[in-house]
Amino acid sequence: MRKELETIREIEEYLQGQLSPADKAAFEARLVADADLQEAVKVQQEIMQGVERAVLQQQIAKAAKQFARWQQIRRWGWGGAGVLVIAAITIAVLLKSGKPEQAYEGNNLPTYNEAGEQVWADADRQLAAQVFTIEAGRDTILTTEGGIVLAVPANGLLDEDGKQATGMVSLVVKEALDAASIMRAGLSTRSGSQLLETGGMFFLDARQGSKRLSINPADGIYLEVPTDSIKPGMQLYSGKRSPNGGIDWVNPKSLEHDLTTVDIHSLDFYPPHYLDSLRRWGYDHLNKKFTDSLYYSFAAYGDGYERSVTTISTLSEEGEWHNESDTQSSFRHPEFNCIINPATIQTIWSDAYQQTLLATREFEARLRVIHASGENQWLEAYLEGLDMPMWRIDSAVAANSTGNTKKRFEAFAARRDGKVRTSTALLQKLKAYYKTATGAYMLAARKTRDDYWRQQEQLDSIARRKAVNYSREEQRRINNNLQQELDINLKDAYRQLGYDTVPRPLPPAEVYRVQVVATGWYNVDRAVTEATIQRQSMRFTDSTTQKTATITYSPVQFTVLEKASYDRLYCYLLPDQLASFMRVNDSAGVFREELNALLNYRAILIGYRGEQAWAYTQTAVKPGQYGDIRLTRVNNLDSLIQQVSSLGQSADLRRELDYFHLHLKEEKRRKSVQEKAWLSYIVLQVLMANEKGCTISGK
Amino acid sequence: MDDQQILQLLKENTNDKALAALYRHFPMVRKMIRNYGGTPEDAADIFQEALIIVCTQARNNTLQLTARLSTYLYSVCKYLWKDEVKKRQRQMAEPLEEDLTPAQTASLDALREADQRVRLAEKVISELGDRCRELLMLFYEQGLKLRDIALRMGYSAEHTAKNQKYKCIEAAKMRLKELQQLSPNPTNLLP
Repeated sequence: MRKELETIREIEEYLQGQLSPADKAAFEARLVADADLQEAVKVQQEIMQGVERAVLQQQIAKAAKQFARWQQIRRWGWGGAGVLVIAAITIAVLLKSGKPEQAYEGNNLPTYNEAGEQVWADADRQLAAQVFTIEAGRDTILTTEGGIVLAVPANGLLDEDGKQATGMVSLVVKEALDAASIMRAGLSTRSGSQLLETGGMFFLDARQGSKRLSINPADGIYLEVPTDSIKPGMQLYSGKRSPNGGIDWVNPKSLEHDLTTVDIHSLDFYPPHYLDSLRRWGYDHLNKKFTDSLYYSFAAYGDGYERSVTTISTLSEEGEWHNESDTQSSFRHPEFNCIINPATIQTIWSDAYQQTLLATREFEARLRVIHASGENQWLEAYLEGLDMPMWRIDSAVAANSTGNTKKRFEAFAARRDGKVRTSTALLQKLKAYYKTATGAYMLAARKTRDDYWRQQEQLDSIARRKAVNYSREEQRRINNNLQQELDINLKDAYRQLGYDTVPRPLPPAEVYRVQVVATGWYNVDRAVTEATIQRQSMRFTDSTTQKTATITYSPVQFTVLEKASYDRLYCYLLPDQLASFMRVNDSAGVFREELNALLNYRAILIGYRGEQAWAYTQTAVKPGQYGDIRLTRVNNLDSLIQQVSSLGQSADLRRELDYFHLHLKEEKRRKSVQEKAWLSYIVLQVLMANEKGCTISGK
Repeated sequence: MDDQQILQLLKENTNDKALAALYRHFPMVRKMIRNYGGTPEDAADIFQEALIIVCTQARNNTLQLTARLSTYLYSVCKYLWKDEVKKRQRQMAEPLEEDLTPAQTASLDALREADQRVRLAEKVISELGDRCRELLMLFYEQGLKLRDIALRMGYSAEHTAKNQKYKCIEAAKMRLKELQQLSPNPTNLLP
């Protein structure tokens, strides 16, 4: 040895009190005389203290970690605890001998080992047993002296017959977690001829009295082995006792288990309660095409882009029938940062992501929590980390989130879910793909939505125009009819009274509506006008000629057989001397009208079943009742109309029927628009029921 | 585990169990430090430093207990936090009551003074190569057999391991001397 090293050895022996009294006296004598040696001793002592401090520091850090872990487990309770799962360490083998066995105590061992054999290794004898007595029927979490945390689920132990053990059982642990204990126990870190780096070794057995118990392979026991730092690639080896008293470590299993992918389309990436709610509202929740298109349509509302659905129901000055029903859809879509972007989901829930980290049950579970948090950045973390073990992303999200989300992701991270092995080139491509595809889907959704509403707006305005035209037309028809009928009535009344006067031209008909009710004096014009408007019979005696004039209106009514079997039913009277038709109103299932005795009428009743027209015509309509009218199917309604009506009448009537037809279609469209808007309103409420707490503004 | 058992374990340098027992008092300390304006991280640092002090004192037989060990640990944390606040030149909303005896405080002051030098040495150790550090720590941790250490570190013979240890000490000593000459006041060199 070099001289310098020799001195160091001497100083060390001196400081550690290992020198013989004589050597010590000699050394101290040298020390007094040699200032350099004094200095060297002082520095070396400091170094020794420094090493001690480093060791202490390490032990404290370990204790701190163990304490934090313990607190965490108590806080979360069951479930989030396990770092690794020992599926089944021992399988029960029936004992041949019925002799009572000796129990584990300190370094004493029972006759038979956990597998029912009489083989023990040196380590079994060297390491003291820690025996925990636990109630088999309850969840138990316990910590060993070395800091291993064991979580034994209720009924997680099986007896020799494979039945769940009940009552008090003993759980036996022997552990060697640090280098010192491993060496003292004579354990090697050898697997075959390979040397292993170890994170600790432990032995686990369960007994009830002298009976051996096994771990229920369905549940496993969760076990956490303390460590200062997580090293990648650590594996769990099973110990195999060799005849020479050693233990060979065999059958390694990865702690960070690789994830298995499933068909991505068999997973559910929708927000929680989306499908439930659709089912509850009676929509076809099993129709993926429908549920997808509905959900992805919300991608249109990204980037805080807002559009109030109310704008489509802006009223034009004329179209009155529009406004009221649309108010329920008058909500404003929220800023997009309230929910997970449906376009992202559309991108990833596709064949492109088969065989990746996302096509796993594990990701599905995380996505549920992400949906509940409403934070797009957590989802992006997983998309960015396709090539990483899942628990790393879990920890990153846990570290950056708060509250409930943090807790859930800490629990995920503790599961140590690993990665999916895929080619990295593919993953690189996917990362880029996600950004472009998501953007494209958002644009497409927005365009679809905008086009849809633009089209609806156009259709609305066409419908409004048509409605206005129709009501003008109808007004014109009624006025013309009234004027013509009034003409006829007046002419006849004057004739009856003995006047040979051509009646004065009448002021516009509207004027009379007010005056008739208000005034108290009579002349024949007024009497006739009132009778014509009210369609009531009248009798008027002229004071000059003493003659009497009568105008007669008599009721007629039509009742259709199986009326309810028609979707729509109309009844028209076609007076021979009037230019247009009269629509007969339906009151309580009966079409009633008053017939003017001066006119001859024909009637046509038109019913629709779907698009198919049915009709009944009656010539020479007389006052009275036409009951149980049976409509017959007509193939050419137009020609039938032409047969019973005059030229003008049939044109008018066809226009009327066309309009009704259009109106019906229009109603259907409007209903579907409303339903769409309403559905997206209620679905959005479900989507936004997350921790972000956004609310839909507006209604 | 009672105080006597804990102290006995610390004296024997079997710290693991003792530290686990002492850690049960951490929530109390954390609460106190948060009440006096510290963060949970501050609390963790202070508590660990207090544990080092208590362990060192227990090993040196310089622990002067007037009450339970947990009370003393709590008081040491208070003492350290008060000092830390002063260092950060912050005003405490409420003054921290001193509950150590003057003799205890004096002993702590002295220990902290000496600890500055030990920390510098620790820094040197932490900056050594991995193998050197592990070797030294194995030697000093608990009475391990030289044979086991050699085996564990992959040395063919015991004397090779020993020789290697001396070389590591030599390297550490040289580095420490260098640092000490660079600045006589070790605080300047510590993080």
